[in-house]
Amino acid sequence: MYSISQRANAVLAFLVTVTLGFLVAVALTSPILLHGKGLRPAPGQNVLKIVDAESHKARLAFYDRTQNQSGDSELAIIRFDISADLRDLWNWNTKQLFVYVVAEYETDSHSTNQVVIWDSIIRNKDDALIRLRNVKGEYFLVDINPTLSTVSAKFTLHWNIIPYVGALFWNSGGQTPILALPAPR
Amino acid sequence: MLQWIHDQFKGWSLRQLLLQTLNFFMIIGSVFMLWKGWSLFVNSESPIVVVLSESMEPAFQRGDLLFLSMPNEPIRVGDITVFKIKGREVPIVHRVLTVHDEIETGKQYILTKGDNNPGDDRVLYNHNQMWIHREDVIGKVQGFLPYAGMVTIIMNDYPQLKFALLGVLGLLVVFQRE
Repeated sequence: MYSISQRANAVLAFLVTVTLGFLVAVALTSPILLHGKGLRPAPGQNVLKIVDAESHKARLAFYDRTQNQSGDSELAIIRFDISADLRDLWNWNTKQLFVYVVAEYETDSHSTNQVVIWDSIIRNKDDALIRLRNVKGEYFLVDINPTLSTVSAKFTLHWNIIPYVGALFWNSGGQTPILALPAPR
Repeated sequence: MLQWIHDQFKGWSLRQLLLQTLNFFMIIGSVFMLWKGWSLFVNSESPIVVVLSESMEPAFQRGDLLFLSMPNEPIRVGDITVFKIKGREVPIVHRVLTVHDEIETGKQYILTKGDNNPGDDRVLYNHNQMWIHREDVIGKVQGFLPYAGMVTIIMNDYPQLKFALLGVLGLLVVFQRE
């Protein structure tokens, strides 16, 4: 009646069920542990503060030349301070935080434009306390159109929580006032 | 081998044989329906994908399983998308770096980048392709299960193993008598 293969099958099925059940339970704790948790700003300080913005005219190798035959386009380099405490987002199912600064603006031809100008991978709780001064944007702020000097953008800190198992979460905070980008030098 | 198969079927009535065959197709049919049903529910042609590259490390590693869905909202910066480049088979899992929504056409111009890659994906796109669009995107990554896709990777690397496993499972289903 009970052969070795049947016993092995039963044990294996039980192991798989228990493992999957445990993983589902861990995944379900994430939204509960993260409930109401978010960005903790330092008292008296802005989460995100634009220190400097400078514009240049340049020929970018991979720029969309279908929009602009000459190949020259305006780009902006943004410098900013970050003062953000994301340590609350750390729990037993937090594997990594992906933190990024987004410039968002409207133009006559495009209703929503979002450009990431800086990002960072955070892998432990201590590093989730972010205090950075005068950081230079990792990526140029370049529009799909060649001109930028007519653009007014606001900047926001975004983060994405990647778990060990389960759902991913996205959120944002610390929006700056609208900044008119300067004319190229 | 053939003798063994012959021995196994000896003493089976036609009715039993047909029933066993029906059972076999029922299992295949249910799995297929579950997959397609789930695909409809999350609005994505392939709702579960296996990570094949290291470009999103340390978030996703080779062999991790990703659960996708296609959101009703527009694609936004920071979303981890799975997209296909025209003329290439294997989809890419990368994060959205830039997005421009054109008013006139409602079209989204999307630029992506792998978290672990030094530069954006314009080197990966087709020659002179500057953007991808919503229709290239298969889905947005919503959930994550580590290692579970490793079996697929191993079976892709050693195709003989895949046939051996399928054969054994098939035989088991056919010969299992209740």
